[in-house]
Amino acid sequence: MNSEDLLRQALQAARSGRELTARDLFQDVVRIDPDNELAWIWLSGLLDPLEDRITACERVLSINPGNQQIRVYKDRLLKEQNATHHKRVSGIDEKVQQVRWYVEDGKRDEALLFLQKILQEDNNHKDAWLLFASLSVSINDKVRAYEAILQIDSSDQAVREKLKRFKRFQRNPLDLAALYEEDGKLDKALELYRVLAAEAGDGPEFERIYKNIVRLEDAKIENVRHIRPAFNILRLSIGLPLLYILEVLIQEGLNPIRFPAPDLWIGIPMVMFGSFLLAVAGIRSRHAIWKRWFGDPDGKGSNMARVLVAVSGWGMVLTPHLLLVWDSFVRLQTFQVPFIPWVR
Amino acid sequence: MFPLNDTEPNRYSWFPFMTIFLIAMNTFIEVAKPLYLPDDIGMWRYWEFMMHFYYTPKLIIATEGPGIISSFTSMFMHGNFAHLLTNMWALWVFGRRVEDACGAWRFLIFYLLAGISADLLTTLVMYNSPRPGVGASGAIFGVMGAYLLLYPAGRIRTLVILSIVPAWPRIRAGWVVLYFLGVQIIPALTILFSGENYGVGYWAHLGGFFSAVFIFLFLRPEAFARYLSDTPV
Repeated sequence: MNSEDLLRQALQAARSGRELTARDLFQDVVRIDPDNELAWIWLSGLLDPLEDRITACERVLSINPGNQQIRVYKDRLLKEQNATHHKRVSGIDEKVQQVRWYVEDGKRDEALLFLQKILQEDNNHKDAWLLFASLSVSINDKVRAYEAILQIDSSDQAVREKLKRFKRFQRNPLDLAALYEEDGKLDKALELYRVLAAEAGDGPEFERIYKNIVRLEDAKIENVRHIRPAFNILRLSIGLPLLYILEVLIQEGLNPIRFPAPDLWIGIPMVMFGSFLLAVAGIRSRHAIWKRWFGDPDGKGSNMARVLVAVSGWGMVLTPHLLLVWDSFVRLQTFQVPFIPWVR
Repeated sequence: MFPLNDTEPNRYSWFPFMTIFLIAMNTFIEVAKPLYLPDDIGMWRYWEFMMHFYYTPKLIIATEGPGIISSFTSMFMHGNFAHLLTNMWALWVFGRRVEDACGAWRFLIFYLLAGISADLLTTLVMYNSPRPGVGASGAIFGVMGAYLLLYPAGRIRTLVILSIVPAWPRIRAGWVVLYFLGVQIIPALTILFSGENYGVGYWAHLGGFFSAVFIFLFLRPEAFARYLSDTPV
């Protein structure tokens, strides 16, 4: 079939509204006859995307530079192209917003996938990177995101701090999982443990992570409530002072008014504080003590810090107890054992 | 009815260090007692020993004698080997999983608190009693009470002798503990209202048992969260 027959068929198809067939036939025409102005004119309206239509206009103008109508049409297409570019930039904002809606709907995986596509399209979007950092479980991804943000905006101190923090977690990734757990984000912690288990390979490290995975999965299956560490610290701080108060009461013959011993009661705040320190050392959660006393930026306490706090706690708990025992021994010095007939 | 064993496994720890330590301490003190108290020691020296190491409500109220020390020493001493054996057996049966839910150190503190609470209630009820008391049963009743709160559906292999043939079914922990609580109440009330003395610290048992409510101050965070979530601790 020659180009004229093809052109006739293409025109018939275009007039009868069969645009796709027409477009294919016009493309066949220009393949046989690349200088067919009429075919190119039709293609400038039928092709998609916009860039191809502009190319078709340029072909028409190269064949016939005097075609003013096409020149005007080409200018209009160029303006449209510019506008589309601006629209694309603001479109990314909309897409990022859409990602947020996904997150709100609990569709984290979809959100993350969509976000990755957005970042492929435009990797200079700070909000998108921020969102990526917050959604991604992988510590390496977070570090990558924060580094990208700092390349976009190097003055962002908060991001700089976060980058520093996550670089530390790169060295101790289990700490981050523990922090998620502490905040009650079991899913996030579980996901991180799984990522870490995959990275750990075989060996004791894997065993340790695997135990955590099993523990968290059990907790999820059992629907175990999250208890805030502060509440646990408070709860665990009460037992020892209670024991001490009962001891002092017995020492004072259950009558602190008749047999007052203020030196023993002074021990109560000491035991309370010691018990609090023991609870803080035992709970292994973030606490101001770690930050202020030990300069631990994540406020979770190193092993050494915890041992120090626990030893101080025991010291404060045991000192009043030793005083109590001393009081008993002093009393024993003057104790006259009653005669057996005293028993009725 | 005699509890033989707790058939459920541990969840958090693999070995009940503190329970074993307490059993060892109690046993050691009982075994070492003849060194201090030889058979020919004489009545007076034995009495003197009791006044120093056993818990005597009348001395406590009068703030005479060893005071709080006697509460601790009496908690680790027993009248005889049978007394020791039954107490330590019960500590093994009920203590293992309570320790598992608390952790070793917190379990020890709870155990001592239960023992002190037992002495406190004994002193309140029998404030005029010159009879020295001894034994770990107050603390062990505290452990049993804690077991009842934490594992009411747990199964205890229990020796039951209803006729000549003994049986050892797995009975719900709740029933076993409530049985032991039940057999304390009537003698305890008799002591309270008629002043009768059975030579057994029934009020100490009850004091220890009621102190079990404090177990929530000692549970490890995971166990506490499970308890609040209505899932097995």
